[in-house]
Amino acid sequence: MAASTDSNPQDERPLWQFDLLENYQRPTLPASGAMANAWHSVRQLFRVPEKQTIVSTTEAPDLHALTARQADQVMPLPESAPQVKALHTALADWLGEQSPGLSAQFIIGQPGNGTDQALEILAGHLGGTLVSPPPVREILAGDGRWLDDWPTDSLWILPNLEACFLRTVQGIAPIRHFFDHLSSGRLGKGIIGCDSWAWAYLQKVWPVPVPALALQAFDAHRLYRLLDSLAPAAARPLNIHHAISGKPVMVVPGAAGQSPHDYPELTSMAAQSRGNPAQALYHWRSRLRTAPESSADKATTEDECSSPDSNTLWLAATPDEPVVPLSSREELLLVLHTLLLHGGVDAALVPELLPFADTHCQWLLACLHQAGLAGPDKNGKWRVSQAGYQSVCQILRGHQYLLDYFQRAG
Amino acid sequence: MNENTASQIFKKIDSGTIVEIAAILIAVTLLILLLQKALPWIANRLPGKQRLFLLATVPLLRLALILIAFLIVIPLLVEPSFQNMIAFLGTVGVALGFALKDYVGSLIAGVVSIGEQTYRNGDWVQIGDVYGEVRHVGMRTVSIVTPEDDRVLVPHNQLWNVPISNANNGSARLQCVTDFYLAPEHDAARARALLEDVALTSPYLFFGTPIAVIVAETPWSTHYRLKAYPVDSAMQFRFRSDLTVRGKTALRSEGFRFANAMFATNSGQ
Repeated sequence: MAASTDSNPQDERPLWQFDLLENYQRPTLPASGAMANAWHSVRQLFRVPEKQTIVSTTEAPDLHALTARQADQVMPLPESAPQVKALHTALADWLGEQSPGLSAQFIIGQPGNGTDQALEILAGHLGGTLVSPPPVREILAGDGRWLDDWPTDSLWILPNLEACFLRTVQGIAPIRHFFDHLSSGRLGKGIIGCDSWAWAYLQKVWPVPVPALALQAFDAHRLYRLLDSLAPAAARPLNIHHAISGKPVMVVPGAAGQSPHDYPELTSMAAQSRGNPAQALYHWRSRLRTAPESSADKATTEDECSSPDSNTLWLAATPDEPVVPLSSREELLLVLHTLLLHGGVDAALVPELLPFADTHCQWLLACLHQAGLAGPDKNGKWRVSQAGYQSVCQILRGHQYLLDYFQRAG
Repeated sequence: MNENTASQIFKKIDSGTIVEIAAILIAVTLLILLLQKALPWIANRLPGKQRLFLLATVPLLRLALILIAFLIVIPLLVEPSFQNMIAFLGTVGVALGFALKDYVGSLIAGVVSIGEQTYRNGDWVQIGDVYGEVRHVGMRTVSIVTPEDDRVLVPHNQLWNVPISNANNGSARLQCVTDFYLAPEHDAARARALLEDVALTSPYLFFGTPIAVIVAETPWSTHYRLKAYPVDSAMQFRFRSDLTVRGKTALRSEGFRFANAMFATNSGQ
């Protein structure tokens, strides 16, 4: 970590920290950034989807985007370990209680943050029993058999509550039984992970206030420290310049006397991602550019890259995000909202959740895929894409759909 | 009005004046056409509340443009003194009042409806027997598109003597009521809970307002009225259809019988 950041009292906070959901403080933009953001939103609103380009055309033409491998070499994605440790710290007191006031702890994760994987690893560390969600056919039938074999005599961990319901009349019955059993203490002691969108919906299904923990926001300070911690030794020192202006954007490690306030790009990134580190990292990595024969290219050949000037990357302008096509917009929004509320849905299940025929659902999914707004993950579940997440949230907010806690205005 | 009086009121109209008036009228007409195309185009890219607001400004701006054109053109035709204006407008008013009474009545009602915002573009209104979405508030008529996709032009002068029901009144919120009639012998609490879940699981549901189920006994059935709001007023029929289809499925799956079936069974015995 840069020496300068230690002088800032805010940097005494742990990088990864779980705290009460209500304590989440969404990063904000300064006035100038807010104006630029508003202008970007207006442009997004009136942009013709067919003309969208993923790479901004305003950057220097001789720069090219990093491949996934290059991006992993200069700015890899974070591992689960720090998040697991932070979860352990946050739950330590509760885990130590013999008769805890709360029989279960809810952990709310934003899409893409990997909180469910962290909980699975935590289950192994704590020797707890990992509980799987019920089979889909049981959920669709409203069958509560899932709860019969519950490991009530040991600590249990259910990492993905969002997979335990479907938004149908029968499909919310098992989750109601679950909440009923949980509030009566019949399930014993456990930890429950839930996607933030599913959590917003489940609070309507079971409107009993329950305290929940969430990974706290990655503001500019935390983002700076995160990027600093992620840059591997081989890529240091890393100089990132703006692709258009050529001005320095970030230096890793930071020089003495610098603070994250010297990096307005990070402030803007933190605000646009609403404190979601996965979103911020996705956009940061997708904006990184390299000049031909620069360090990132050399890194692929695993050559030495110790020269200070050799590790130079360029940060492109924020690319245009995918937009929801105007034709069939209402239906496409319903599909996107459904994907978000369930934390991803199998294509075969979409017709069960929406009042459209099978073929029409497939067509809508194909439209979203083509627009870059959604796609299947490695398990075949359709999810809103990282690239389109912010624009989807923005349009859902405008149309006053149910939003997760992190996307609500304010 | 004799010839001398007329010559005192009206200016001498030469070709330059005619060109000027024509230019003003053409410019205002083009501006109005542009306004009527551009604002709805922009509005349709905006979410519910902003969309309705922008659509509602179209007739207001059009009226303002017409008034501006009128104020520019009149001094070109009439010597701009108080007496002349009174005489001119009075004469025109009387002539129009006799010859085109209904037409002028509709025009005036149109101005009133724009001022009072009785209905705006995007509102769902019932005027007499016509129910539908207001698509265009013209100078003489309001254009309503019914759920059957018929375009109905209703003269504004209906405003004077026909009750007008506005379901959303400029907002995106519109309550939808879906009726279910069940045979009286059943567990009403379970039926009500099921219907609440039917609304709660509809993808069209707006969560900002509560779901309500009103239950009443009728001589031949128990009447359930499921009240909920869709995300956008334009979804109302799809929302109600979704509630009806899934409501029937949910009720049947738990053994509830619909009143007409019961009635038919009893009649057959």
